[in-house]
Amino acid sequence: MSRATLTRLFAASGAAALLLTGCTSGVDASAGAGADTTRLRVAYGWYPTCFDYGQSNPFALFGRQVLDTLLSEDPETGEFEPYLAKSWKSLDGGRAYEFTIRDGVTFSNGEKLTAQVVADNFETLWKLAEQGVSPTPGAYLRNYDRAEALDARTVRVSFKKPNAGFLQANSEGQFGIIAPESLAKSPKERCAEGTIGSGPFVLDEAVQDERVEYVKREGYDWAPDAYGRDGAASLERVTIQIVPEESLRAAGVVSGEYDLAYSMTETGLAQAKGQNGVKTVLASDRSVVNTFVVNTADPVLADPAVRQAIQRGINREELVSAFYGKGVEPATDVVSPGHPSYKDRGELLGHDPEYSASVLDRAGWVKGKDGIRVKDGQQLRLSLAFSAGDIGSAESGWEYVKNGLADIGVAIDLKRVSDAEQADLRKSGKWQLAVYQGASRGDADGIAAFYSTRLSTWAGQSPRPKADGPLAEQAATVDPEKRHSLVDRAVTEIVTQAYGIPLFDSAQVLLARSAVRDLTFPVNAWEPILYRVTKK
Amino acid sequence: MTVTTAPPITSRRRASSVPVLALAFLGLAGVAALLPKAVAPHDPFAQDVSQRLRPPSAEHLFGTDELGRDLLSRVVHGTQASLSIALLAVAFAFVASLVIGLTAGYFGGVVDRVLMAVVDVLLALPSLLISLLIVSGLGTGAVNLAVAVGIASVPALARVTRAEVLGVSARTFVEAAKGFGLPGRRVLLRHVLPHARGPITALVALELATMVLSVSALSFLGYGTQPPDPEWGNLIAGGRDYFATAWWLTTLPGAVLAGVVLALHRVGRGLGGSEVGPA
Repeated sequence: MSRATLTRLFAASGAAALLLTGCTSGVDASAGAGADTTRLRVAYGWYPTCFDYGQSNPFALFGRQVLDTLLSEDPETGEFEPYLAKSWKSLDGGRAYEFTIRDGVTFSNGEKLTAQVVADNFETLWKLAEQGVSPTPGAYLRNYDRAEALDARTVRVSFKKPNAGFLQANSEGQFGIIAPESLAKSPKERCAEGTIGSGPFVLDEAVQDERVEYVKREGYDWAPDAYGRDGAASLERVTIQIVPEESLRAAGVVSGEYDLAYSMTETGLAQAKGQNGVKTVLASDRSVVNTFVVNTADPVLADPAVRQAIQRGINREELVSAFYGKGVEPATDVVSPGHPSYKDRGELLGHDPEYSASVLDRAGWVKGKDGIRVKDGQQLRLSLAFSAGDIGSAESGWEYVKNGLADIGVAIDLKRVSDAEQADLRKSGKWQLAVYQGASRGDADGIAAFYSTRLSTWAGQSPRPKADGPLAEQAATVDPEKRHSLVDRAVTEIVTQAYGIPLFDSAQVLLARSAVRDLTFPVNAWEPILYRVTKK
Repeated sequence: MTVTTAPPITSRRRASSVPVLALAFLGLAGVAALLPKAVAPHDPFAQDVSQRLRPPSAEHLFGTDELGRDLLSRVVHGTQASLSIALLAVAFAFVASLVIGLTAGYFGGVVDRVLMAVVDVLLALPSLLISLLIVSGLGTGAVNLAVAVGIASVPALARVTRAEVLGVSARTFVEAAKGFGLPGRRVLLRHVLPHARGPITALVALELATMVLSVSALSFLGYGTQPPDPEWGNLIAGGRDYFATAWWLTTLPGAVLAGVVLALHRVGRGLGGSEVGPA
C-alpha cells in the first residue's frame, strides 16, 4: 500500500464517519422527542417475546398500557381502590369474592365489558395455569374452583380453600381483563398477536427488535380516581424503542432523542451526571428481591453449609454501591422494605467472610492448593447462570460476586445464557445457581410462589417441609396476624437454611427528561402508568 | 498490492525505517505474550472496586476497568490469548492449504477440479461469516476459534499454493525428476514444495495480521475467550457500555490491536518483498 493509498483510505473512512454521524443527528432533529409534547419515546432494553401479559412477566411495561385491572392498589398504603370493579366483597372467610363491574366500559375492538367476560378471564387464566403456561397468575389463583357471572354486572370467584392474596392479585397487570375476541384465541395466538384490552392505549405497530408503538385510546374514561385524571390519556402516542445497550439508552435521554430510559445503573447515571434537562426517577418495588435461586437437589448445594457460606460471602453494600444506582438497596430480607411481610433480617445477610469460612471448615470443606475448597474429592465449584436481560450491568456485578466468593474458597463459573436457554435449564433442573430478577407481588403469596417447592417453577428443589407447610397454610389464612406469623416462620426457615440468596431490591432507576411529568408506578416498578404522563 | 515505482533511494530509506518501529512493537507484544507476568504491572484479575473506572495515571497507565482491575495488565495478558490463537490459526491454515494446494496443483485432473470447486464455493463466502458459522457449530473457546479462523483463510491460501505449484511443476527440473522415475511424493516434497514455498510464506505472514483482527472480532462478539480471562476483542467489547464515561476501556486495547495489526502487516510486506523479488 503506497502512502497515497493510505491517505485516500483515511480520507474515505473519515468521510464515512462524518456521513454516519450526520445521518443520525439528522434523524434526531426531525424526530426529536423534545419538540413533540404529545409523543413519549421510551428506551427499553428488550423486545417482548410474548405479547400476552398473562403468560409473560417481562411484558409488564407494555401490558400495563393496554390493560385495565379490576382493582387499583395505593402503593403507599396498600389500600385497594375501584378500577374496573365499582365495589367488591370477600365472602365465606376468603373462599369467595364478588365484584361489581363498572358500567359503560368497552374494549378497544368495541366489545363490551360484562360480568361474563370477567368470569371468562379467570377461567382462561386458570386453564393457562393448569397447562403450566402461566406460572405467576397460577400461583395467585391457588385453590381456584370457578368463576361465574351472577348477573350482568356481578361476578363471583370461588375457591376450594380460602385465598388470602386474591384481592391484591387483581391489582396486578397480569390480571388485566382482556376482550372476548382475545379469549377465544389459543395461548400461542395471543402470544403472537397480543391481547385486546380496555386500557388507555392501543397497540399500533410492533417491529421486532426495534420498537413497539402505542396510540391513545379515544373515548377512554374509566381510570381510577387515584390517578387524578379523567378521559383519555394526555399523550397521543407512546413509542417504546428497543435499545439493548444501557449506554445508548442513557445517551439517548441526554441528547433528547428519548424522553425516558429504563434499567439504569451506575454506568448510565454517570453519563447523565451534570447534564441539563435530565432527571433520575426511582421506582421502588415491593416484591421478592433480586435473588440467586439455589438448586437444593444438587449434591454440592444440598449441603446447607455451602449455601450459608455463599449467603454471608457476598458484600451486598459494595455490590450495590459500585454497580447499581442510588436508591437500590442491599437485601435485608427475602422481600424489599415496604412489602407487607418485610422484616429486617439484615444481620443474617450481612457480609461476613470469616463466618462463611468457619461454616465451610466445620462442614469438612478444606482449602485445596488452588484456593478452592474440596470435600471427599469434590471441588466447591458452582456455575451461575444469568441472562443478558437480567438487571443492567449484570456481568460485572456477577464478576464482582465471583471474586468475593473466591476469597472464601468457593469457585463460581459464570455462564451467560439466552432467555430460551434459561427457560430450558429451569425446566430440566440441570442448573446450580441462577439469577432471578425480583418479581413484583406486594403480597405474601409472592414469597410462596418463589420459595415454596410446590409452586416454584425452578425444577430441582427438594421439598423443604418447614417452609412449604406454612407457606401453603398462609395462603388460606385470612386473619392478617395469623397469616403474618406463618409467613414469618417460613421466611425464618428460608433465610437460616439459605434456600435462596437474596441480593438487592428490584427497584428500577430510570432516566427521564425533566419535561416528563407525573410519571408514577403502581406497586410494580415495571408497570409505569403512562396514562397520566404529560410533557411540558 | 500496489507496485512501488518510486526511486530506489527513497524506497530503501522507507523500508529500513518503518520495519524497525514495527519490529520493535511486535517484539514488545511478543515479550508480553511469552512472559505476561513479568511485563504486567499488576495482577490482571485483582479487583478493587474502590478504584473502579479510574482514568490512565502513573499507577495505572491504561486506567482501570469497571471492577477496578488494571487495564494495562489485562491487555498484556490478553496479548497471549490473542496472539497464540492467531498463530494457531495461521499454522492450521498454512498446513491445510499446503496440502490442498499441492495435491490439486500437482495431480491435476479430477482431484484438482473437485478441490478447487470446494475452494471456489468457500471463496464466495465472506471469511468472517465462515468463521462465525464454524465457531457457532463448534462452540466458544480458544482452540475452536483458532480452527474457525484458520479454515476461513484456507481457500485463498490454497488457491495461491496451487497456482505456484502449477508453475513450478511445468519447469524442466521437475520434468527431469519425473523422468528419472522418482516417486510422486518425493518429487512433490523435494522439488516442487521448496520452490513454491516462498510466496506462500509471505502471504501467510500477511494473513497473520488479518487473523489477529478476525480473532479479536469474533472474541468481541463473544465467541472467543470468555471473561474474566482477557483477550483484546473481549476487552474492547467489555468497555463499550462505558464509552461515554471511560474512553480508555475501548480506546487503549483498540489502539494496541491496531498497532499490532499494522506492524504485522508491515513486516509481512517486508518478507514478501525480499522473497518474491528474486523468484
